[in-house]
Amino acid sequence: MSSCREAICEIDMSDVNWIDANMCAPLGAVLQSNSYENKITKIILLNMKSRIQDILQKNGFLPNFGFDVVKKPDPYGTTIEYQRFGCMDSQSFKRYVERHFRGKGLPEMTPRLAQKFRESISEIFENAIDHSKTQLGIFACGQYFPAQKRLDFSIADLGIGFRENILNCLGKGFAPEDAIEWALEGMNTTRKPKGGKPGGFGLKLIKEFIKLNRGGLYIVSDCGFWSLSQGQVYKNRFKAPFPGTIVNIEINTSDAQSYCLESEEIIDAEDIF
Amino acid sequence: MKSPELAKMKKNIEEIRLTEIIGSDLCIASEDGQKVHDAIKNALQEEKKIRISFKNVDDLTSAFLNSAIGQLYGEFSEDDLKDSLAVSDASHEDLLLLKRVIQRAKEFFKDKERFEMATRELLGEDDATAN
Repeated sequence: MSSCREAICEIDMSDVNWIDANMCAPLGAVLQSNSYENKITKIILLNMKSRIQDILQKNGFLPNFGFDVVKKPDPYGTTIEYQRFGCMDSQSFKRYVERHFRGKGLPEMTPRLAQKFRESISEIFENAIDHSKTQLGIFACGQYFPAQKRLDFSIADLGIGFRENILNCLGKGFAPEDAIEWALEGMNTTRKPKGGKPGGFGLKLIKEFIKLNRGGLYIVSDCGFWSLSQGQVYKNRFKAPFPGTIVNIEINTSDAQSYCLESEEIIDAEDIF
Repeated sequence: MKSPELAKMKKNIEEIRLTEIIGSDLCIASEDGQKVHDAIKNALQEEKKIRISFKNVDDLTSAFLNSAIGQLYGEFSEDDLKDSLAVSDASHEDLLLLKRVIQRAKEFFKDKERFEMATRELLGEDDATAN
């Protein structure tokens, strides 16, 4: 951001040559956070290249965020609309899932893979509701990359993040990237058994799914970065914090049979409780 | 041939159909799971036998199931739940997820001292490297 003065924020976009459209979710979160903290009433995007503006208009980011432009048609059907949700608004997210991922469907995916994708983003959204403790909303956006057979979807929140949540609930400090890792392991959860619900399971399920799918899972929280891609885990630390959490999943849409493993176990429905 | 005892037993079984309670086949939101939980809890308090029907369920998340069923293990004994609850019309994938949610819920509530101790130990080990 080049300069923020009084109630107007100007952002110099001249060096932006490409943006993965799903990154509009964290972009929206950052702009929302900045607007809230600095009482900004107007954001101006300066020197934006036309192809970048095209992307941000096609996926609805600019009109939905309040910029004075219309949504452009998406003739290839590869965008998944940017939307901001209320911090407890599960029902709107359900309608979003219904609108974008059912009926018209997503190209080149088996029905089971499409279902696993929908369930995964729903788990991420519920996780954000549960842990972020923010009033500033939850931001979602996706993009399908047909040539790479890749579907990316990002959910960002402006909540307290993994590190602070663990610190508040359990009283101990992790490095931010280790806090993410901890939350993705075994039975770890910040929930308290007394008077609480069990939880902390959604991201672990997604991690399992992404491993089988040979896709990617990328999480930024505070200064921490954690990723799983092609079966490899990578951690890093940023110089400056993100004001919340971003979870990005990358689905390998050409995967047709990753889920045979989960069907091998025999379950007795009569003896499940 | 149905015996009178069997007919009487069946009368006392209440079916709770997930999709009817929440009005959707997307069983994904924790708050929807809470509606199911409340219906099951009411029926359990009336000492009814309950068949939880997954008929027409499309998407299903652990967040929904933790709310709907997992938290019951903090409110009722495992024996009572085993005796009173049954599942019907669930796909194999739904059953797999439900089984894992139940396993975690049992561990979460059953041995909370050990659970909290393990968490503290794990955090303590990382003290040296944490910020």
